[in-house]
Amino acid sequence: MIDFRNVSKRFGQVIALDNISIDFSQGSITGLFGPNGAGKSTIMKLIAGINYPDQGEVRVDGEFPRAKRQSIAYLPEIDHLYPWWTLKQAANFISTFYQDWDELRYKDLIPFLNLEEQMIMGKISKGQRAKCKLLLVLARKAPYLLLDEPFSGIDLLTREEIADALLRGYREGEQAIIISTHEIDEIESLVDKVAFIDQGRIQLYGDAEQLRMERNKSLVEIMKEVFRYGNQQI
Amino acid sequence: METSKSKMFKSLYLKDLREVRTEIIVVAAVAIILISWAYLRTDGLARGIIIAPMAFALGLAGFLPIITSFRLLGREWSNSTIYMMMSLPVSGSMILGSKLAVLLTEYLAGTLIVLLSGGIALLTSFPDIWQEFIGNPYYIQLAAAVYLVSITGIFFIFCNSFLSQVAGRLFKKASGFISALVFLGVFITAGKIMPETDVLLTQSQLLVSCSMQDIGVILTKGAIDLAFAALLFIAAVIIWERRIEL
Amino acid sequence: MDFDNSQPIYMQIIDEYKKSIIRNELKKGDKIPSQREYAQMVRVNPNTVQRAYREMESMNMVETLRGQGTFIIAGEQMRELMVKDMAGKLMKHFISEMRSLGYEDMVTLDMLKHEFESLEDE
Repeated sequence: MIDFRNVSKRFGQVIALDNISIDFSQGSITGLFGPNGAGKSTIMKLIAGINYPDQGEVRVDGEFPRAKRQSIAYLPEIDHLYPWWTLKQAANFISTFYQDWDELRYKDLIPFLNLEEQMIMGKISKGQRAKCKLLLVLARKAPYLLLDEPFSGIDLLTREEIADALLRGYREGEQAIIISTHEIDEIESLVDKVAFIDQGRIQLYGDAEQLRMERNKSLVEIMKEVFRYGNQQI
Repeated sequence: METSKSKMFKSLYLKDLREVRTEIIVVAAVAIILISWAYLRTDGLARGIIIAPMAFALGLAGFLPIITSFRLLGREWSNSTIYMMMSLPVSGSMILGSKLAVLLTEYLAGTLIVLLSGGIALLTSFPDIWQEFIGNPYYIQLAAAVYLVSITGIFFIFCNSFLSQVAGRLFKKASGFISALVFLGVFITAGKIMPETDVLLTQSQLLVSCSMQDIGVILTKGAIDLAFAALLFIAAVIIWERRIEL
Repeated sequence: MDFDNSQPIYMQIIDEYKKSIIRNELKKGDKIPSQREYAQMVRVNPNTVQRAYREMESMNMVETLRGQGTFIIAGEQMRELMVKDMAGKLMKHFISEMRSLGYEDMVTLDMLKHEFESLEDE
């Protein structure tokens, strides 16, 4: 379980997270929804152990995030692969470090995502690179999978391929997936938990189906409602 | 998938080794071209001039790795691959250690190519002097000691380079300026802490007395450099592991 | 399959199966996709599919046999109930929509009669 207790984080004058408490447990796909700059990426980075909270605690299975890096597969929003790497080189490199690397799954996902091992990271399209990034995290059987804006700037067809690969690789009950995006409609039906985040706060958190039942609205509509209300408060 | 620390280190090392290939080739080309040019254009005693291109190539072989030390780490940030590096399940000492090994490789490869090509040229030109050098264990030990100390010295510079860079990265703004400040600051501080050995070293460098004591002094200087380098390395690792944020 | 995202998806999955049974596309004893397959097919969270399947099991619509898969167990009797249920829902929906348009119930009834007659003429 990933546990946030009263976590605050600021960058200079900007408050990225303002006293957030939330937990993510295995067996669910959580969507972190909110506009750009809402604090979604900061939540991801805190879990990945590349940011530290100013106040409060972040724990992964009760330990400091950096001690649990072996259990976390992190897909940052930014392109973090060496531009000269071929997909195969990237896979070889990454597989050296993680016990949970699954070569069979890796081989299985390459054709599924319409990729080739010889593709060079710096020379392929943004969509292909996004798929390579996804493949490299999905090829691991990591208990925690963090996907930061996996759909941004990617065409519809590729988005569908990404969603399909995600479900193909998903292991129910054993894995917690956290997806941050400002484009909810892509994954509306993929998530079962949602957290709407704005201005560093969790404005609404709940079970996706429960929210639909209570409000007779889609998550996109709920988000608009929540943020309008949230912004009025200020 | 089986993982092991040695495989991880090897992966990191080979990944970065790619970055220094060009530099090694440049040093080798410069050394071989200049030395053979000097060798072919002269003859007799005038061939002593070979020392000049050798010294130049040696300088290059020592200087380029220092530039590389900044590029090797800085590029991780400019390519955003720092996200990959920082989230790997390995300690900062392994990541920085592998980079240190790459820089050392560059230094050793460069200097050895120069010394070897220059050495061969000198050997064929002045077999007598060569005989005397080979025949005197003191000279060999002295040369070995000087080379060893050059390695510890460059180690110190590499570690200083790493420390100043990670220290600079603690600041969002003016991180380059802060790096430069730290880099110079460490040099000045270290210079003040170890003045006595430096004096001894200057004396010994004159190589007048030709005693075994000189070698001891040189090696002491090397050991002190190494100790300082280790401190800087540890400081850099601590900052890397506990303070760097992306 | 496209879902109406403003309604719980698990209910829509159940409705989809009910419709298939009503249309006789699925009969007693037919095997349906596993939860995992179905989730991938329709691109839906596996927990949501699980919830739908569990619900269908408790309604005695389907049965999951260990190691064999999930099968339709709804017979003719249940199918008739589903038809009635579905018809009832359609009627309720129709009536409430007509009311919201401002029609009196009696007027609606007359309009229905007319509509039936004109359909018979065709």
